[in-house]
This record gives sequence, C-alpha cells and structure tokens, in this order.
Amino acid sequence: MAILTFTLSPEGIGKLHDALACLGKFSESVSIEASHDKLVLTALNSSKSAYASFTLVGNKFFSKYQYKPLRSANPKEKFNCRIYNKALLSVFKARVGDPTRERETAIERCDVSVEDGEGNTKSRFIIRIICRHGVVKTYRLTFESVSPMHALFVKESANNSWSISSKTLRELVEHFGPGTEQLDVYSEDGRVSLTSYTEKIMSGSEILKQPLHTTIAIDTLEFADFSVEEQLHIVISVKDFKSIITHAGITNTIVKALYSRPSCPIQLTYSDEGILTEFILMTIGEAKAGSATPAPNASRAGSKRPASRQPLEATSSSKRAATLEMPPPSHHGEQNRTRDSRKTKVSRPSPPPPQPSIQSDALFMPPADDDRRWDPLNFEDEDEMLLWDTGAENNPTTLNSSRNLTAAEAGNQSGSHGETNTTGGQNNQHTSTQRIPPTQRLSGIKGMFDD
Amino acid sequence: MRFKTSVRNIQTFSKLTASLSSLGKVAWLRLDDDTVRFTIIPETGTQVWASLSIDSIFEDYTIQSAAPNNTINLELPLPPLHRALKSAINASSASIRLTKKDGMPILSLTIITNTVSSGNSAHGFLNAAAGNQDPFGENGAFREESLDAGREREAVVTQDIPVRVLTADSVEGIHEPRVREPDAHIILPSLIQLKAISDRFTKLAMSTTTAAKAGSGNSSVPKLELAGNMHGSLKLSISTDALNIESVWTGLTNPELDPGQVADGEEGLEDHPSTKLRARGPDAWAKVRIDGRDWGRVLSVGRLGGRVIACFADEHALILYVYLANYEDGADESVLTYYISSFSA
Repeated sequence: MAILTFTLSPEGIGKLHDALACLGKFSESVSIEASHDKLVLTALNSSKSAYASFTLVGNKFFSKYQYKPLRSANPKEKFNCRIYNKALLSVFKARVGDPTRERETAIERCDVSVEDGEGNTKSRFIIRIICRHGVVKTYRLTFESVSPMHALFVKESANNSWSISSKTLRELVEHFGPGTEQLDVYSEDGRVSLTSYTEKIMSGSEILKQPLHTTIAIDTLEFADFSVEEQLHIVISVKDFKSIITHAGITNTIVKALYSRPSCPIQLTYSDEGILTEFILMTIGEAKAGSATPAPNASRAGSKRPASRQPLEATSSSKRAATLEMPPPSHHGEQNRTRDSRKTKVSRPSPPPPQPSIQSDALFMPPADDDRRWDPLNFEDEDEMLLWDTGAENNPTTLNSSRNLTAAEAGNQSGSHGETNTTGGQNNQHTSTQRIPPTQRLSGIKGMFDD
Repeated sequence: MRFKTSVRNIQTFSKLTASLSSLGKVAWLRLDDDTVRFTIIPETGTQVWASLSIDSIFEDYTIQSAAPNNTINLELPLPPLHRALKSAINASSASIRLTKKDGMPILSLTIITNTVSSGNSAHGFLNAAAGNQDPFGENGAFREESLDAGREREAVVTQDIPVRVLTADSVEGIHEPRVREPDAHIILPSLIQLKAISDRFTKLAMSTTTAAKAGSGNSSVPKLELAGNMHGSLKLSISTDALNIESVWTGLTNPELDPGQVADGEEGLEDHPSTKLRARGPDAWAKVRIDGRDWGRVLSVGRLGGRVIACFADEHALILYVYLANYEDGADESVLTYYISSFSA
C-alpha cells in the first residue's frame, strides 16, 4: 500500500533535481523522511563534517501531498528511507532545462508513491513521469529503511551572524580556483575577507603545483546584515561551501550564516518557495588570535575535537581522505602549521567607483563563450563535431538523434538502478552504434530509388 | 628585484595564456625593460616562443633587477595564471606584482571588480548612491582621487600564483631553435576552419585505426601531412589503410621576403630555397608530417586573432609566426613563434 504519495509540477521537478544534485555533493545516498506536512531530504558526508537538509513543505512545494503512516494509530510516526542519489537524479534529470525538446515531450507532471508494508507489498519508490501525448515513464526504485541522522545546531550559542544575497555570494565564490581545501572567513574594520587556500607544504618544482591562493575582500555593507566578532577566523571546507553556494545561487535569495567560534559548527540557511534549506558544517579548529582557548599547537587535523561540539554527528572535519567525492589531492592529515602570519594580508586599495559590470555566469549558464572553440579537441571523448546543426528539430528517426544524449547523461542513466520501464515511444536510451556519426541527415539523402 | 604592472588588456592576456597552456603547463617568463617573453618547451611537441611588446598587455610597467636590462626570469604555471585572469575578465582594473608570501615567491594579481547588485532590498539606498556616479565622468580619468566613493560595491580579489625565480645561469643555455631557411612560406587561411578540418581528419583517421588505438597511444596515431607551395596553395591530408583524405586551399598569399632579413640580401634571395621552389611551379610542395593532436593545440592560438605565416622546411620543420595586432601603431611587434618538427615518414 502507498504510504506516501505526492505530485510535482514540472517546475517542482526541476527544483527537486537541483536539491538532489546539491545533496549528491555531500553523500551518494539521500535520506528521505516523510511526515504529514513535509518531506525532508538529508545527506551527511562520510566524515560526518557536513550535513545538508532540504525541507519540502507539503502544501507549498507539491501540488498534492499525502502521507498515511503504516500504523495510523500514531500520526506522528515518520516514514524513513534511504535511496541511492544517482538513481533519483537520473530520473529527474531526464528533461531538466532542455527547451529544444520541451515542445514535443514536455513533462506534464510527476506522481510519486512510496509503497511499503508487511506481506505482499514490495518496498518500492515509484516515480511516474507523465509527459505529453500520453507518454508515461515509470521508475521503481528500491530503498533501504534507515533512519536519517540529523545534525543539531544550537542557535542560542551562535553569537555571530551574517546574511548576504545568494547571487552576490555566488559571484564571489566563482573567483576561487580549483584545488584549494579551506575557506577562511575573517572580518576586521568593516572589511570581510574570504580566503581560499590550501596548506600543503611543497618544495622545489612542486611549488608550482600549489593551487591558487585567492582572497576576496569586500565591504561589510555588501551584506544585508553583518554582526560578527572582529578578527575572528572561521575556517570551513571550501568544497562544501562551493557546493552550497552553487545551489543557493540558482535562485535569488538571502543566505544566512550563524556560528560561534572555531571548531564549533556553522549553520547556513536559505529558503525558496516551499523549500527550506539548511547546512551544518564543522569549522576547523583554530585558536583565535589573542584567545587562550585551545592549546596553541592543537593539531587541526585528526585531533579529537573538544567535547562541546554541538552537532549530533558532525565530528572531526579533517578525515577527508575517506570521502569518496574528494578530489585526489586529498587532505594531508597531520599538519601543525600555524597560519597566523599568512592571515594578515588583506589588501585594501580603495577602489574606483562602480561601473556597470557584465556578469559572468560561467557556472550556470551554457558557455556563451566563443573562446572555447579554440580549445584543443579532446579526441578521446565521443562528442562529435562538424555536425549539421539539427537545431530545435528533434526528429528521432535521424541517426543524429543519439547525440542529444550526451555522454554524461548516458552515464547517469546507466548508473541508475531499480527497474525502469518505459511506456510509449519515449525511448532515448538507444545507444549509437556508429563510431562516426554521419555528417548528413538521413532525411537529406536522396537514394537511388527515391524519386 | 621588483616587478609591478597594471594589466592593460585582460582579454588578450587571458587568451594568450589559454593558447599557451594548451601546449605546456609551465612557462618560462622573461621580463625585461623592453619585452615580455613566454617560452614553452614541452618534453614532446611544439615549442612556443612568444615575444610581446610590453604595451600589448601591460601599462604602468616597472621592473628592476640586478641583471642587465632589468631582466627577471620566472618559471610560471599557466593553468593557475589563466584561472586567475578569469577572475579579472570583468574587472575594472587588474595589476600584477612579484612578491613573497611565507618566503615563497608569488605573482600576486590584484583585481578590483564590481559585485553584482542583485536587488538586495536591504541596500536599496546604496544602489541609488552607486547610480549617481557617472562612470564616464571624472572617475575614469581621476581614478586615484575618487577611490572611496564606490567602495561599497567593490570586491578586491587577490589571486596568488606560485612562481619560481630562475637564475640567469639556469636559462643561459636555452635558445630559440635554429631552423634552415624555409622552402615555402604562406599566409594560413582562417585558423578556425583549418582547425575544424584538421581535427576532423585526425578523428576520422583515429577511428579507422581502432585496433592500434588501444595500444601504445602516440605512435599509432596517423600523422597529418601539411604542405605548402609558393603558388598560394596549402594542402592538408591524412592517410591510413582505410582512407585517404585531402583538403587544398588555393589563392593564399606567399608573402615576399624582405631582402634585409635574408643573408646576402638580394643575392641571397635569388638562391633562397623558396625562390627555387617557386621556380619549380605549383606542383612543387614543401611538406611536413605532424601529430594531429599537437597541431590542434597549436591552432588554439587562433583565438588571439593574429595573422599567421607558416614556413615550411621540407620534411624537416614547420614554423608558425603569429603576428598580433599592435595596441598602438609603431610599437614593437608582438609575435608568437611555434616550432613544430616534422615526423619522418
């Protein structure tokens, strides 16, 4: 029997996809917790230093939402399950942001029902995507019944707070190059500096492999609200922060941060229509300047955190090597470098007056960047070049249609597990058997028997 | 040792680093009173010697060192430089200086950029204040004085790129390759077209030699043949067991050699290999065999929009001279020289 049923609008599907993509950067599985008025999606990373949670409000986010607990005697009872995130992503990804295909095969809505129970009922997470022309795609995903772990954050003890436009923050974060590990947030004298850096010690020609060290200095007036202890360094993982801001920047919202002191968690929240988003990240312990708290040489890596840490599970933030998603240059565990010296430079030449600036949206917009065509061709990937541009047309009978399924998409689709069955003609899973896609569309060829 | 400059032309600088970094990750950067020179010498593949007039990318350039001509030699990783310049694309100003941090030499790029005013309602009054500033008024000309006015909407981004300072001794032995006088020189057609066709040819050839592809990589990839004559034609071809394709451009220009640049002047010109090749007619070609992937990386220089002259030393080497448009007339020329050696048949 169906414990949970809900219906999503096409727009809701897109938003759910964005949320899942963000959760996917923290953990490969997503925990789902349903109660009578909301659905909560959470992920906790493997080192338990970062926690992400999306609360979808039942009557706002969904066009229909109904939860019937198994034992209806207790209406407070929640339903919990855990699903492999990629499976969900590939289901909802199908059509996101592809206006060229929208006309013919647009999704009208998406019905989800979760079945569980004793006896004959199979435990399945069933997603039905209803498209135009009566095409219905049904996905049955398996799930685990596991209670999610929630990180706790005690707001009362968080005396530092700021909030800022997500767009502004996203624009700033785009300046950070790849490869760095930490982000330091520091404020002094009306200026806030965000520094992305890494602590690897390198020597010789290795020095040149050191990632970019980036400092962004902005005025506190850039923030909607800024109330933070002067000269306090708060250090978090730059990768986690980027993941968050990437999602937050999709909509124009206000990101609010709350924190107390190093080695205590920081909370970042924002909301969008019907979605409340919360992240709790462990900050890296560091004796703040002039304060006598932890031992000055307390190793920031691998050391046991003071028992006062608040989140349930968010413990050491340093055992990064275990995280699957971390890029290969993983955190070098034990380093005891004092960083005080390198934290002092905040360059603040006073800038000229503002001029209208053209926004670079590299992260989120399709590359309108002509310059890219000059990049050397990667002969190893299967993307084809010099094709006839089929433009907005998407005629599934041409051999070229397979190119619409990008390699990445194909990878994701095959990565989904659970049973997929497709009713109707919507089969875009066929793979190209041609090594070299033709340069001419079949419809354009005049055969010898045509007349 | 001091080096500090403003970046005059961030776009050009960024495109230059993009083109160079496709050939090698680390460049030798030589700065002195007159020129900025990037040199890339990869272990295999094409060498680039890019010599730019200071004006073409920098302004307010100051350099000081104990070496003659105030020369500073640096080893500079290109991907971080390129990434850092990306931050500067929409900047109102950017400057670079050589400095030290934690005892390590760095090139520090300071970028002053405008932050987006995304209708942050709490700051409506600031947007209004910013709107009152006339961006075309005094502020441009007297930037220094009006600094504090717009501070609220500015972000100062500092990108620190690790570098190594090279001693004069360590670069003494590195010289530009010497190649014999070319047999043919010709102005190349549109590089984007040439690149598309070259890439296409290479890809076709690679996919028809799949068996070898899985094997030992480089050696199995068929080579592109590029040939030029002295009668305005360029020929690009590739052949494998399964196919043989060829593209020919005609009506191109063979620039006249400047007698002043040729050994023995007018006389030398008469004996010049290219004069001889021209005399042999349009069916006489000077030919090189090159690796298609390497060639694709070379052609990424097209983004700079320069004029490209290809010099063919038959069966030996191909040299490309990429002349960049000058920032000001009469300034020293900026030229990128690519040395591509030919594979034997």
